[in-house]
Amino acid sequence: MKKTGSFGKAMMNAVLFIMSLLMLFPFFWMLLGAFKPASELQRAVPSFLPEAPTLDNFRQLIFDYGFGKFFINSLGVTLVSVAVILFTSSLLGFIFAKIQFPGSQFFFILILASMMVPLETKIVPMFLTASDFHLLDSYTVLILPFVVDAFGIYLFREFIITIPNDYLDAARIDGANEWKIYANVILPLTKPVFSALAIFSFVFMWDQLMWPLVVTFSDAMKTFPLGMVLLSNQRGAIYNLVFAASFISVIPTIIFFLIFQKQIVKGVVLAGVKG
Amino acid sequence: MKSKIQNLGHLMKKREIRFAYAVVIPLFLIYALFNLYPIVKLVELSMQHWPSYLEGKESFICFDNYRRLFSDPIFRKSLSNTFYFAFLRVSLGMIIGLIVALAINMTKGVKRAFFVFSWFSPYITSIIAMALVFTYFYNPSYGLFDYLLKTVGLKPMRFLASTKQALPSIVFVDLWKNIGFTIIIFLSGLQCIPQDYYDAASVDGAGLFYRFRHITFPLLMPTTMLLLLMNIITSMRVFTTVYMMTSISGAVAGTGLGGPNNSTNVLTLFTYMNAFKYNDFSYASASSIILFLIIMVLTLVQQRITKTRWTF
Repeated sequence: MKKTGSFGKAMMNAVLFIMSLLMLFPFFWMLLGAFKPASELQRAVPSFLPEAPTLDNFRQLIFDYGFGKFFINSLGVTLVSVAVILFTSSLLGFIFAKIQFPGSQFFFILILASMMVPLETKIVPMFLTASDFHLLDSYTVLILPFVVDAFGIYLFREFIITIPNDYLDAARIDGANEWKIYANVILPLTKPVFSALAIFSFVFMWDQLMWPLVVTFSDAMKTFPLGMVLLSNQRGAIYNLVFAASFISVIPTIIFFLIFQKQIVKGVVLAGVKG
Repeated sequence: MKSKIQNLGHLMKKREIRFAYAVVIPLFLIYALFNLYPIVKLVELSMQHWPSYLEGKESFICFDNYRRLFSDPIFRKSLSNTFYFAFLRVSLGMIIGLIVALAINMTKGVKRAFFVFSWFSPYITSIIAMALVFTYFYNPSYGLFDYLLKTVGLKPMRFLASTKQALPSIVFVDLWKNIGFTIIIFLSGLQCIPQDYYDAASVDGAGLFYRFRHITFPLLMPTTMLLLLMNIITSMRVFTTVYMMTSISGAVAGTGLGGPNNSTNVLTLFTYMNAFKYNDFSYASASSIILFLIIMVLTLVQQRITKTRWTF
């Protein structure tokens, strides 16, 4: 790739740079729009920078539309789910990788096979199951279907299988039981998978629409995305509030991104190639 | 002494197995409840007649729901829209993704980090929020896109309100959101190609295109095939982007979910509407089965491909 002329290379970089800025443009527009009043957003000639920046949109969202509750619901459901997914995936990954027990193949293959059936195709019977168990419109129903994650189990198993058995045996000789081996030997070695799965399940849970849309009815159970659906009324969307809500909805993702920044790209590649 | 060790080993093995069952069985039951049982239930439902959830009447009617599906113009429209959506999104995503990845791969350091960040960040942000932001851009009376078109002297377009433009407009947003994944995976594939190959080709005086055609392209084949299948599967499953963009534009254009004249109705939306708007769970199940079969075939192909060795 050294033969490309320096002019050609500079041109290519310039084009790539402009396109990269365009990719980020919707974010800039959304961030700035969050501080514009409704009237400013409905002009024929749009303004880029807010002429009279206001925090009123956020006030309306929280006090008039109940977005505080939606936010807490979403954050709670997401964090609890991510924590449980990480725990069950690493634990089951460990068991399927390192413990031979009758039926282990049977359980593992059934779990893997159902990865072929995405949520979108089984939404009807899942809803009816939740309804049969009287779980509709509860936090439980928002979390429970996702706490055992086939993809996560698969990812952890593939990784843990490469850990030499000697490590486990050494711990056993020291008298460690299975829980101790899991916590002291396996977990410290699986950090890359941990962050990869943390990011994936966080984005997945935070940005879920179909399932919460179907299983929640009351405002007390609504998640943040459902709040955003509410913002579209008969006359079209209330865009000043949409922008403010979008602004809030990307904050947790940004924080999560900053925490896992270093591992994030590595994690996506790991998960993408394995999946 | 020997038997004592054997005995101890036996005890440990027993303890291990007990541990495994104590963890696996309860978790498996939860898993089965929401992942395996629904599949069986789905097949059963799809062969029943159950016109209203509230009435609770069921009878076994075999394949009548499927017959009804294929004579339903809205279903056929949804099916063809789903394929059209997947075709546009996958072909554009793969081509643009590869070009951008090749370009990014030639950069280093801060520049590279910036490029990767800007193309990748849409992938991890909320599509629900950003789809709504895009409906603002597409808005016919105060949207940015029409404003720009008018500024450069072109005729404004109707985007989401038009039967022809609505689906491509949604593809554009879905592409913006997901292309980062394709680029990241392509980049990792490109990094696996040894530099020696390029050096050797340079010595022989091979040009840029020649090197792409004979080194990059064949060695990138496994990555390309994997991405192709993954992109097709995620496109077939599209729901959120379509739902968010048509629930709003519908309010503007007076068309509602599924876009003007069902021009953006896709299989997932068709299922959702039939089940949760019209309460026809059995009919919705039959359409779910169709989508399930498509995805299953694609997944099996994907698994075959990831196991295939690509040699040239």
